[in-house]
Amino acid sequence: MTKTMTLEAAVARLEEIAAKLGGDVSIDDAVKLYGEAVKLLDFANGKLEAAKLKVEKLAAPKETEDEPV
Amino acid sequence: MLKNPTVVSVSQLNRYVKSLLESDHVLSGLMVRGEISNFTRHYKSGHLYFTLKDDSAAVKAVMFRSYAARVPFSPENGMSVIVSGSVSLYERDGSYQFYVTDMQPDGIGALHLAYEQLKAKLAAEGLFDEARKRPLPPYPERIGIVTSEGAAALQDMLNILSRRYPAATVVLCPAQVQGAGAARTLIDGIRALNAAKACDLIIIGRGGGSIEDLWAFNDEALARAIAASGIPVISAVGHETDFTIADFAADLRAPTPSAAAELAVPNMADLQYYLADLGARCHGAVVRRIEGTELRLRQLRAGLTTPEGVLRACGLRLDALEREIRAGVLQRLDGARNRLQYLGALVEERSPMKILSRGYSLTSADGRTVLSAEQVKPGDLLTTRVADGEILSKVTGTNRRTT
Repeated sequence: MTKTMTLEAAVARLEEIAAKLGGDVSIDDAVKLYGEAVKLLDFANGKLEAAKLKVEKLAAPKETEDEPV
Repeated sequence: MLKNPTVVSVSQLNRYVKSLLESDHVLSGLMVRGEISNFTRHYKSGHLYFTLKDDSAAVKAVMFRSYAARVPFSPENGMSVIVSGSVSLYERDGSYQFYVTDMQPDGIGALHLAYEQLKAKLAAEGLFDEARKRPLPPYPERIGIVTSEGAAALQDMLNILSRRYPAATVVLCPAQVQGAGAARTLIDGIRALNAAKACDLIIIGRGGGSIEDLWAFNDEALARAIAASGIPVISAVGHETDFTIADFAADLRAPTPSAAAELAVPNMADLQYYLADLGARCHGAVVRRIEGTELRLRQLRAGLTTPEGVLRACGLRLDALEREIRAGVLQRLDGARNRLQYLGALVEERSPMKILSRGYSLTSADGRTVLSAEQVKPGDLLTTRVADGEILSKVTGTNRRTT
């Protein structure tokens, strides 16, 4: 799990793990995958819980005159 | 003033006529209705040259670039227009011309015409094709909003985003949303968000207004900037009934800014529920997997802890199998034996000799068994079989029993 993990990637990976676990995996892999799933859930829920909408302002961009209007 | 009979040059003549035309009160400011023909836009200068005509007359017209730039639509041959301007003379050719300063389509609004023309042009280029539309990210982390900073539309969007999906971050890019130069600031906003890779989704829009208020969103360069954006764009301009060129160029058109905010993000409660469901599925699968493995282990451990145990288990199994086989064979043999005995008894029971031994006898005459009194007559010879031999006799008479 890296800091650049996105919620979208986490949900996609969770879906993948749930599908794998529902199929035919060795017990070792099942336990490993489950461990990963728990971390992903913690990450995703952590992102959602107690979140407050943040508003940033992009510095006013310079006039771009590179293309004729 | 020229004095008679002074000889003048052509240039002098033309200059004189020109001054007459330009000093005329009527000709210095008037509006003319006519149809455009022989239309050309000078490729270098940008001036427009054309002929204005009606059923029976024509006049040359020119519209200089500075005026032409303010015409929102593209003049075309055959288009009916009302032009404003003045009349003067082109000295070189000695021809008088109409110098156009403003042009309006005759019948429909200039903006409406411009809108339809641009829409048709960009559609023909394929700028609005469905295949160009990018999918929106399902869980955007950063949402760029290009709109007017003080407007109610922005506040509406922020309210909805913070209610539905507070996990997101909004990157606000303030822009002018109406008036001259507005399109420029909107374009700059989209480009700045792209350049900074500041977000994974852009909402561009404003609240409702008149067609003039919304006009910046019908800008060709803005439409191209939206189409060129590497980040998917939702356009949300005005009310549900307002369609702008930006709407067609965007990846998704939202009917209003509030609707754009709803469409941009998932509902957090739904997402949390979905995550819980995914977690439960993973958990259940692992628990079942572990329980199944445990059970198998217990079964194995019960019988197979030592080599002796393994042998004993195998021996027991062999014994059991042998017993089963033996029992099966014996059962079959017994069955067969019983059936034979039964059949033998049955055969014996039905044997005529058995019947004779019980005192019955069998009589025949001429080799045929006698079954009826009418079958013989006095004097016939009878052979009667009994259990231990035969008796020969002669019929002395017959009595038929009447029933």
